[in-house]
Amino acid sequence: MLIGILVIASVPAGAVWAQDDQGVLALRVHSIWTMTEERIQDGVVLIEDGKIQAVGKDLSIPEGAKVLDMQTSHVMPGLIDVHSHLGLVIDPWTEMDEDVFAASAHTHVLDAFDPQAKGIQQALRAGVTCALIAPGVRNPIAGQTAVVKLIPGPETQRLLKRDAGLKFSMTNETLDRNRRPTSRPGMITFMREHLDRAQQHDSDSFDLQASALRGLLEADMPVFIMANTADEVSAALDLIRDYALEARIVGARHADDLAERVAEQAIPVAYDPVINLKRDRDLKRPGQLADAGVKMAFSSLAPHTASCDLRTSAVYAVKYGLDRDLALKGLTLYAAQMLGVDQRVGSIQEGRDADLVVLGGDPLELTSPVQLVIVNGNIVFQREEK
Amino acid sequence: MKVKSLFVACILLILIPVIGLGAQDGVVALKAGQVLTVSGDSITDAVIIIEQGKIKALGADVEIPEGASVIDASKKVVMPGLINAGPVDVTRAGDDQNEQSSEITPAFRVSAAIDPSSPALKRLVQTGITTQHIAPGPWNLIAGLGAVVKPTGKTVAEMMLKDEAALWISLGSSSTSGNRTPRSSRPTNMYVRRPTTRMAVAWMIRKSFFDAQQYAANPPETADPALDVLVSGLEHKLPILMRAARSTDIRMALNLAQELDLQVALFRCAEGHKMAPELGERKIPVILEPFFNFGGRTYGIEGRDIRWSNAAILSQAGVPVALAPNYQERPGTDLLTVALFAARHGMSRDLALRAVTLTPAEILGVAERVGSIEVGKDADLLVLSGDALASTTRIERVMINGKTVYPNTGAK
Repeated sequence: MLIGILVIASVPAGAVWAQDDQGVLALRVHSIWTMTEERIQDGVVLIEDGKIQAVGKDLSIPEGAKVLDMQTSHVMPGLIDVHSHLGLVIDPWTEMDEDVFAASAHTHVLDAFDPQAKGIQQALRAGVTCALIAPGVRNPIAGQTAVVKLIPGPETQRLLKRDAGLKFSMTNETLDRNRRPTSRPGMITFMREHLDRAQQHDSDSFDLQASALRGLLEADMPVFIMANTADEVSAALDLIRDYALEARIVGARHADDLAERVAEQAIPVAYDPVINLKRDRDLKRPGQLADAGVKMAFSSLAPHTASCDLRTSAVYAVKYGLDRDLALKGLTLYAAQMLGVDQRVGSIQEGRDADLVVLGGDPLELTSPVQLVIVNGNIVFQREEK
Repeated sequence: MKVKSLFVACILLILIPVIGLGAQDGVVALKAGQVLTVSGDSITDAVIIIEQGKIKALGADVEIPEGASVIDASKKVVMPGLINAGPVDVTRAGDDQNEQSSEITPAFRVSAAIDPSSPALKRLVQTGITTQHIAPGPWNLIAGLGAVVKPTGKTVAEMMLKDEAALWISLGSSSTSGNRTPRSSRPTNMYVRRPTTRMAVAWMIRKSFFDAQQYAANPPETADPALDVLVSGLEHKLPILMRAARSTDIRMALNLAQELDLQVALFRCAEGHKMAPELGERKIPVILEPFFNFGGRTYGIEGRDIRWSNAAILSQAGVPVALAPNYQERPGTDLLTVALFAARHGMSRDLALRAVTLTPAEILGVAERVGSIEVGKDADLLVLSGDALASTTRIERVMINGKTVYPNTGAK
């Protein structure tokens, strides 16, 4: 009933993206979910120059500050999607897989990424302020990723990490081509061959493929390995161990069978949209992985799924056994750590970017609407009651 | 019979001074009601003296030399011939515009495919275009070299103003669309190749220019014509024109230009209005096609978000804007109407006229010769029945190198 009479209103574009000096913004709310400390009740967040200036219960609000009094609302860090394809579907083409040759470590998503694509607005309205943009799954060595904030405007304002890691894929889709590899064992050999070749790479030659893979071997950047079934996850774990890769496993739908190994090798997992799963057994997996000590975050695969609303995934995971605190951290702090951007985003503390979501109630209640989304201290989405 | 021939000869003799025949070597004086010089202020009641195809003198108080043939346009408007920096197909077969056996063909010279008897050339003259850029087609990533010609002449050499005038690069989907992934087709097909995505478009351009840098640093004994062309581009000796319609492709063009230190101009830019501040800040020239004859909000598949005020928004942001007609898809569009349309949607009249004359000449590097009415420049002129930016104005006379080429007098 209540939701029925809420009208979504975007703030006019001109006012939204302007990075003018607006002075101090004070946000007074019912609860602050800081992610690093205990929840603060009846607290204030002070924002200046796009950064969080102070957080606390009894903060004095400086004179002249613009005060947003939302004393029944909750604020949490902007949600972070650890694996998406947002901005890579440039209607009518998908720009995600350069699959003429199976190794495409030289391709970079930023060359195709469109910050003004439609799905991006949709994710932002759901409270997702930051995402890893990754190439598709059709190449075993798929290409380079980037971490961006989901706002338009100049790159300096929205790019968090240019070379955020390489994506590998171990799914069946990599094999369904008329080129090498055609089998899963062939695919594993293929990946190993390329990593071996990169060891001998001479940095003066123009070989973006080898230099990107070399970055993995020297642990300059992580690898995001798409692996779902138990055998895929197992092969991924072997590869990670043999080449001492800094890795994250993406997808991981059946990773619970190997939960102990994943935990032992301390590999964080970016779980597929939980809302897409059907069976009780599948829905319980995020909780089981976490119980085994695996660090987890959530991914949307958007726009391939309609699940850019990450919060729904977390709520389902909690419903089927994931700890509430771990679910919230998976949406924010752990995701930021996984992407290597936790010094900028993922928690509410002094000095972090002011990327925040204000919700009408408990973040893990689906009836709590997203009321306000703030990126770099600017209100980029506002839901108005009329 | 004899009497009839004599009669025709007499008529011709009478007509010669009037229509300016035989002016090739002699002096022609064009009396104009108003001269739109484009480079400076317009002049009222002026005389333009033309000798050996060039503008010899210009002004309100210029004396007409004895023996000069006089063209009376004293109630008319005279402006420079129009310049189209956008591509037009004047090859015998459309396929001649692309060498499709490879994606990277920098040394491809489209001038070798020009057909001087192409009907498209006649249409250019009829719509007032006196300088035309002939570009390679869009299907190759690094497509090759364009040429700048004047649209009259029996041979390509006669038409040529500047060969190897610009290097064309296609971003976006056109350079990827012909290529296939190995899924459904025979792997031996020559079209199974990169790029199939924008990501690989960027990589292949980087790779090509990297190879050129290496080549320039350590020149081998045998020269490589393709790499020579890319080196000229890197050394800013050759303008680089990039096809980019969508905002995401424009962004890629700007990034590549910065990374590789290239001097680029952009063609198409249907979504240029979204990138106006970035383009204006770096003064990247653009060549815009019209889209007023497309019904909906889209412009083909390469421009999803079009605005009729595109040219106005860009020029107000400080971007040098040239306008081009879309002969390829809509042969009816003429360049002067395109300028009129831009002015109607907010571009200043002066800039709209510059956008079809001097600005495209500057982009193509031929502004020393054409693009404005100045002493010393080629006598490429239009006589208009009235205001240059009024929709009922007709083009009454087109002169190229001081010679009237339209209406066609039947003279050589």
